[in-house]
Amino acid sequence: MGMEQKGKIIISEEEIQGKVRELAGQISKDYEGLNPIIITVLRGAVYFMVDLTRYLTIPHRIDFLAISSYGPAAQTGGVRITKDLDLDIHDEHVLILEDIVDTGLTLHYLLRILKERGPASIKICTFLDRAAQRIADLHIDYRGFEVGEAFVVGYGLDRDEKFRNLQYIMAVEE
Amino acid sequence: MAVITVSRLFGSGGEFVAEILSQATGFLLLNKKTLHKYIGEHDLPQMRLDWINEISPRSVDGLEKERVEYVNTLRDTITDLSRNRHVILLGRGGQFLFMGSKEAVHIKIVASLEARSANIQKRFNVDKATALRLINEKDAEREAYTYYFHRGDWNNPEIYDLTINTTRISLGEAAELILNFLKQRKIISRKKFEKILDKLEEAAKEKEKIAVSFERAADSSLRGKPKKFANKSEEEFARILDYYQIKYLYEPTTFPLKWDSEGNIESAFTPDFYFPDFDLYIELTTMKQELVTKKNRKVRELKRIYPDVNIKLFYRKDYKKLLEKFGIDPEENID
Repeated sequence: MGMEQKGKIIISEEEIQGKVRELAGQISKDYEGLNPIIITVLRGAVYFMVDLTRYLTIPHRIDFLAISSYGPAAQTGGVRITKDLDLDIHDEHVLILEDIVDTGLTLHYLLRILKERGPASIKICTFLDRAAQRIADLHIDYRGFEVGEAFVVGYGLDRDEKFRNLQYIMAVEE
Repeated sequence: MAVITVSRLFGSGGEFVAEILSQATGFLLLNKKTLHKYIGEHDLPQMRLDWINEISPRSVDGLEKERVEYVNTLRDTITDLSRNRHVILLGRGGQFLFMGSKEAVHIKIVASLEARSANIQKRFNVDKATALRLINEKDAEREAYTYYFHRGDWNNPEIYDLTINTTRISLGEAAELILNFLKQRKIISRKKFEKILDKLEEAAKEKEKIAVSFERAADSSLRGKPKKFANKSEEEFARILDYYQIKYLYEPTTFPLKWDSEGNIESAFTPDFYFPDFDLYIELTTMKQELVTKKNRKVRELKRIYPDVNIKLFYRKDYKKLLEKFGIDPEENID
């Protein structure tokens, strides 16, 4: 399959890089001397993490986490961690990176699990925010762009596992 | 025969007092419902019938002829009905329609703001702020109604023969006071009085229960709480919430939205899901977009009456996206 999906670029590569630099600057300032652990939720946020951390000017560590998603074949037992952290976050300053937060259901679960491990602090940074669809009441500390209703792909976001590698954000035709 | 007019402050229980009296005496009760029926026979346009709900028009320009016609029709109809029986007229500016009439007795039921607020809270299952807002709104509506149609000030104490304060008097006691007054006026004979008193106690017991019970005040059809989910979409949504271990309650609250002049709930809204952790209600509207206008209106009304309530509408397209995100075929799971 090629990259034939039609759509409209809503956030350009330049805008993305500008915003990521801006976020990294803010995070570097806020986490000065704290040596945070940057946790990336697999898989979409990987692209964001790679760019963001390259602009950070403070020492930090990275780790990854994956959780199961609801779906047609979802297990009845409910959500679970499919790839856990390697680092111990107890007494550490934690920053969670997400590609997009919409309903907030996944993140709500994640926050609950991670808070039980006793981190010194825990904050959220999302590249895209679709607040109109929010159900879980979450505080987003760092936000790249607000997006509306359109289905978006690129910069880590996929449609049927495609288009993650686009360097811009595209609203696809439905 | 006599026309007993009963005016009442919203939440004072005046409509129940009138009902108790009517049940005990057998006098014809004229309220919104019965007046609709009798005046409806006069073949007036729909707008005039709406006025019976004690609502004055927003813009009065060019309506003077209709106003006069409405007032005359109202007076004529009630006069006709009272030709061979006593009638009890609830509201509608009766104290002005029959001001100075030898046949008429004017009664007003009042109560302290605190007591009215407590009554409304119990009856409609709302908080204090909402109760106070409703009281303000309804009182203003009635004041505007009597002023527009009858050019009268309903707060003037001199226009009533008897004013009863139900702050510390029960609805039954209030009805009994009126009954005694009617006996003195010889509208009720001494012979019949004792019999009526027995009936009054019975009627009072029943009405006093209804006056403070939300379950009874609300139309049962508006409060039907299905134990099961209403449709496949809600069921699927609940499964997603369970999966992510989100606490929710299904249809836990019914919000009354519209009351008629007697304080009956005319319209209410029960959002599908409530999230206690987020203090948020969600309504799933998976119907076709063109059918959601009515629901939108209800949600707007809910937000107006209950500005502190958080409610979010999930439209068909939002829900479709949510399902798509989880790899579920929306076509099979939306109904």
